[in-house]
Amino acid sequence: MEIDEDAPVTSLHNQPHEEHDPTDETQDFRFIAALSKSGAQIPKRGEKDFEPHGTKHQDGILAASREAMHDVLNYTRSHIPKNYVRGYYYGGDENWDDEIVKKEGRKGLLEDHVVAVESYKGPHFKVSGQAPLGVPGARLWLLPEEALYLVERGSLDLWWPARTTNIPPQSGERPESGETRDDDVMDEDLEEKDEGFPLSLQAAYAMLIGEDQERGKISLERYTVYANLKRTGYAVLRAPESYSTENMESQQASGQIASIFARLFGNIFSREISHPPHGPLVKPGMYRSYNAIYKQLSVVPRHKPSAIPNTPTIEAEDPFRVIFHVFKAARITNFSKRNPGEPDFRIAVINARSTSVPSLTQITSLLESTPWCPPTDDMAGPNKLYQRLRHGYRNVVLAVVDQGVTSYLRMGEAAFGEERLYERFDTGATRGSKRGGGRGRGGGRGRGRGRGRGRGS
Amino acid sequence: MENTPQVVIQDAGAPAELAAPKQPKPRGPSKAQQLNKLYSLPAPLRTFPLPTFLPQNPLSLLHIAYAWAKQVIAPESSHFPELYEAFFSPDNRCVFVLEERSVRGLWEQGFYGKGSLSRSEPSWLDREKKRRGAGKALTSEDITRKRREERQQTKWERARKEREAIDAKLQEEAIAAFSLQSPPSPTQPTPPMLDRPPTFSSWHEGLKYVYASVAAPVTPEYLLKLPNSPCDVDSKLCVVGAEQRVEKILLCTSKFSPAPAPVTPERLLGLPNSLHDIGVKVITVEAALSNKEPLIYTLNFPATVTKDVSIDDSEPVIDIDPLPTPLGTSMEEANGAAEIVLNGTANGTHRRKSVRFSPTVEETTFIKSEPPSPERAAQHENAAEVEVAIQNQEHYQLTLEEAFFLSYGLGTLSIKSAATGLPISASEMFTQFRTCYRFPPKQLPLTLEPDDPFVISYLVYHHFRSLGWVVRGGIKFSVDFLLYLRGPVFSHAEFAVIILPSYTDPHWSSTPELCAYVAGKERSWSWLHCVNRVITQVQKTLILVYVEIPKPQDDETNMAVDKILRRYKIREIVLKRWLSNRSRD
Amino acid sequence: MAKADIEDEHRDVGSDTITEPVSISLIAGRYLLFDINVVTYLRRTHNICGVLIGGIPQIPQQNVFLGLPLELLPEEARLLVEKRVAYIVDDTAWHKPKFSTLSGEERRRYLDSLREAGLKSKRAADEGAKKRQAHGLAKEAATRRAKGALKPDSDEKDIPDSAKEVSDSLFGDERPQSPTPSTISVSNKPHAITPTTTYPPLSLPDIPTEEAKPPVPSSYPLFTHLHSRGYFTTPGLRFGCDYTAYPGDPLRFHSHFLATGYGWEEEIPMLDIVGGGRLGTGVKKGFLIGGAESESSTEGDNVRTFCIEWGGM
Repeated sequence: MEIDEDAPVTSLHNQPHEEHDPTDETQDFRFIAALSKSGAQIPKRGEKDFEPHGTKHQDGILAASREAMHDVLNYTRSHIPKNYVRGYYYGGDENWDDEIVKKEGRKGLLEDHVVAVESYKGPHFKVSGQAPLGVPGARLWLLPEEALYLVERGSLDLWWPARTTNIPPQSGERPESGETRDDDVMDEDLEEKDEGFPLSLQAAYAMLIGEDQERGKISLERYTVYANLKRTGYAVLRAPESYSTENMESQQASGQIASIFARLFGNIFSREISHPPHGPLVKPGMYRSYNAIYKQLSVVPRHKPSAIPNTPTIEAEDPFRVIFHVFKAARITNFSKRNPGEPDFRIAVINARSTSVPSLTQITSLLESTPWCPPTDDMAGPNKLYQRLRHGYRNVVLAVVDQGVTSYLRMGEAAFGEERLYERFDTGATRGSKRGGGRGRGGGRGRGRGRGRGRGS
Repeated sequence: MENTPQVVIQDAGAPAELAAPKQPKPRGPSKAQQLNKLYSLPAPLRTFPLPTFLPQNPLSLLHIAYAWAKQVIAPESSHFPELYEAFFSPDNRCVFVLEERSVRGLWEQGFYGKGSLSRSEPSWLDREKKRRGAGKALTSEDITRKRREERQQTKWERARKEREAIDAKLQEEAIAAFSLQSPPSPTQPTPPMLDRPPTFSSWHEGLKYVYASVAAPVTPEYLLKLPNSPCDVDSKLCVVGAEQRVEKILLCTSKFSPAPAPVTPERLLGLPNSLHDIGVKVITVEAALSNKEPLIYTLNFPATVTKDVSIDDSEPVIDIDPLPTPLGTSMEEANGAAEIVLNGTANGTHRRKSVRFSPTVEETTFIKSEPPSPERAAQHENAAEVEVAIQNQEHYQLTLEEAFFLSYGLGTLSIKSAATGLPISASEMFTQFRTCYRFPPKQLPLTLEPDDPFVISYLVYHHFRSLGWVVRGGIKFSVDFLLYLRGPVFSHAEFAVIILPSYTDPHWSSTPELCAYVAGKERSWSWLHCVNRVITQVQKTLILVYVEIPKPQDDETNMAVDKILRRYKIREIVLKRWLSNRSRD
Repeated sequence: MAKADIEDEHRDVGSDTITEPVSISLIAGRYLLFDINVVTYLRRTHNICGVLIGGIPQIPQQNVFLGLPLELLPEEARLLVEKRVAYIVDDTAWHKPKFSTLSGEERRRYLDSLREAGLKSKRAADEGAKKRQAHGLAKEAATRRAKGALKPDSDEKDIPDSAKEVSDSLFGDERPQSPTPSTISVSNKPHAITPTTTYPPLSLPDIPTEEAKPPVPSSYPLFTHLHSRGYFTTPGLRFGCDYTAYPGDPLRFHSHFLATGYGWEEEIPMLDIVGGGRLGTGVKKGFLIGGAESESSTEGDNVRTFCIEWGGM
């Protein structure tokens, strides 16, 4: 009798498919204390009620919950002198006349690098920010997502630069810990110097969030994904613009030999068998193997994955384009911003409301912009069939954003055509009997068939 | 078949992760071995491999020579001499199999088809026998049902306990609230009458008021008079909303059901399907404010509730738009207090039919052991007493894709017309299947489109079958197909297939109408998440199979089928939810 | 006696300063809220909960609890505008000229309020550091008493470190450490402040004369229908629907429905019904479809909703 697909599957299954994701539901802010202690778990289930039942007790908990949320969110970001980092926003067009910009230039920077940081300390800048090439001691420039993330985190004080001078104060005059200054003098200095003024979080959003094509701005969904990954602990960089062409060039050399070989010899073996126009495909006759039978059945073209795609690649287009390169936390210690190396994940960011499930062209061009990544050697063998199929030959992660809620989907180029299961049907036959002789085991083939007996239950 | 000693098919080398044949016990073959033997043919075709050559045994060479010679002199066909037989009925859009031999063979040699009254393998007869006390064998449907019954019981228990806890809490609070106020006089346990009914901004507020206004007891008598649950609370009418237009009405009556969550199956079934099924006492704002005698409207009732006066058409209209109550979704789902939205305008009454379950559906949806009503219980008993020779009501069905593959692909099935009994020509079959596959059926003139649903579906079916997968329908999981490695008796399906037609050929973007047509086929991200979540819940992996649709051709009616199929391209994309916090390190 | 408002018993969280209409920031086509008082007010009074998308500086390296800004669905923004509870401010267009020309009195007021907040923050930090130092010393003293005077020298050295480590603050790890006791600043220089909102402290933008209506998807009638019944809604992407509907605040309740809107005449694929029903039943929620009846003769809310349960055959 067949297996009931609706019955819960036991944990013998290899892959833990369904994992509880605490970000699926709003969590109660009263439990935030548990989170700050290392390794604490958010209570998984059973904490919430099903529906309002009119008890004061329930109302009291709700009020406490809301209060907890209010209190936590009511926090004002303050910067203590010890790790103080200030950045200036140069996103407005009129600020490009900055004299220091003229002096230091912007070589190697993207147009989107619009926040300048004079002096910086701390782990964040190991991964974020770029300085103009060839200028020692130059300021560090941040991309909008990098700056906004640091502001949100409370690690960056973002200022609107002064109108008149456009020169940020020199490092010697910035407040440092332990330094004592007369308050009045300080006030006057501020007024005279006009360093600009600090921006609120709201202002930072207003200035740095925009459409993706706008200079110095990033869309909210891309920022949401960036911040989400940074908070998880990854290092996130923008994918280089010309990635796809670089990718193709570097792969061509290694793949060329393989493709020549395939072209020379592949054709020899894939002779097209002629079929009667209306079947059957498997012509009557005596077949020695299932292999021979199933070869007759192959009429639907199967995809053969290769390092070099067979059809000319279409350039990946927004939004189905790799935007971020993501590196695991462990790699941050020896991180090099200029040469970060191969990322652990590639992310494309999609807005759920304005796009649909991708067409074949979109997903193919997206996948082909990622490197060839076939199943690894430890996935060889018939036992690892499922693993190989699930791994695929190329893959990419799509971050789908729906009004602030992000869901990540990994899409992989699978190739079922590479796994010819019918080749296993013969294994028993050709293996022969251990007891010697060509006679098959499990004889009595005729029993049980066609008679409705022996269902083995 | 029975007299072919040459057949040496072994157990197809199953991967170790699946059921591997155990060592044969002295008693007899193990269950796994039985399965392997019974389902040993992966397709309704036999092979005749030559015996293997064993270098250490020179006699094997002789054996090979003998086998080879025999095959040359008396070759046998891989196909069984008598093909399996099926009938095609275009009106019913199905292919059915009647002959027992064909049924067994199709099921055991590749898991094609299903019983029309069973989940897969035809088992209706056995279940019927068991139901009548004759049969003993457990079918898989029986096991499933047992499992479900047990789960239901635990859920009722839990629901009842939760309800008791909530009720206890409510009483506790009512007592606490009372102890803070001055005690009312013993002769007036209910709150003082008001000039106007209280107003609330939401039904939730109203509910709280109702519960809170139950007076705390001051003597043992009043203690006993306390309601056991809100169901027993006396009729309370609260008008909600401002202005002349009534926004909501909260009511909690003693007779009728808008009750807290049901805690037994009977109460669940006693719940109304919608507000049309219950007695509703309704007050208009005008009446409430002016302290007039309230106008009472009542609607149709189920048989278990006392009837009352029906609506007088001359009164202002009531437009009832009930909150959906997902009946039976889970035992914890509450009906809560029913809400009614009133519109003050007079535009004629809407009488809506109340939806009732048909008896047969109810029988299979709810637990058979607890019949919902006495009348039906009587029916049941009567049926059980009748002992008639059971005729198998079930037939065996093949999907059109399966039938076409068996006939066109493997050549092991002969399809005849259900109407005439004559075989259908191969050329006709493809066209017929294409045209009748749609629902509703295509209108004349019958044209063949390159994206005919049958063609696309068959392509994918053929693709996976030709690689050796066992492919079965996936509608129960909202997908197109499920892929099994060896078959549904050996393991769960690992992969679920969704077919996505892809219109990349320039033809499909050549006119605005075509562009709109293609745009209409796009699927949303929430749909994809829905399917993926369903599939993930049952431990499967979702595969998106893109089928590239070529541009239309002039006339495909007489084209060779394989030429037609070759024009398409198939790409598989494997999908998996990625959890950022898990992949961190 | 009529109004049983439980929350009068608890501290009223900032709602007394809220007057309608409140402002909603429109930034690059998204509707955001930065003022926590507005967020709490809308949540409590209008059943609008939105999605928090910012990080919490107190515990920045996690995604389970997020903070301001709150992102509203365009449906939520539109509903609030239609009810005259809120109005839309194009924040990008407002901020740029404001900051380019910020001067004089307004500028001084702005900087003053920041300085004030900065002083407060400084004082709080100093007090916290003093407390920790005292706590640390007390703990050290207790430990020493318990152990006996084994290693007097090393204990002396350890005092500043233990003062740093002992933290009675809730969010010890990630927050930038307060300066060690030995370097508590003598000056009264205020901390630099990044306020969360621009207005306040600056004055609120004017209410526009023309009501800008946020564009909404076709499922808007279903959204308003659910909202009018008292449900809270959040985006339903992860659950395969348009909205997840809660009978109360999502902080404390599980959702009841997975709701998707359809046009009245729109064809719904059968497999979608199967999938939705199966998903709903699988997660113990109701799979709900609904839409506005196109030919309803009554005025007002003509949305019909239906719940579908998978029968499990």
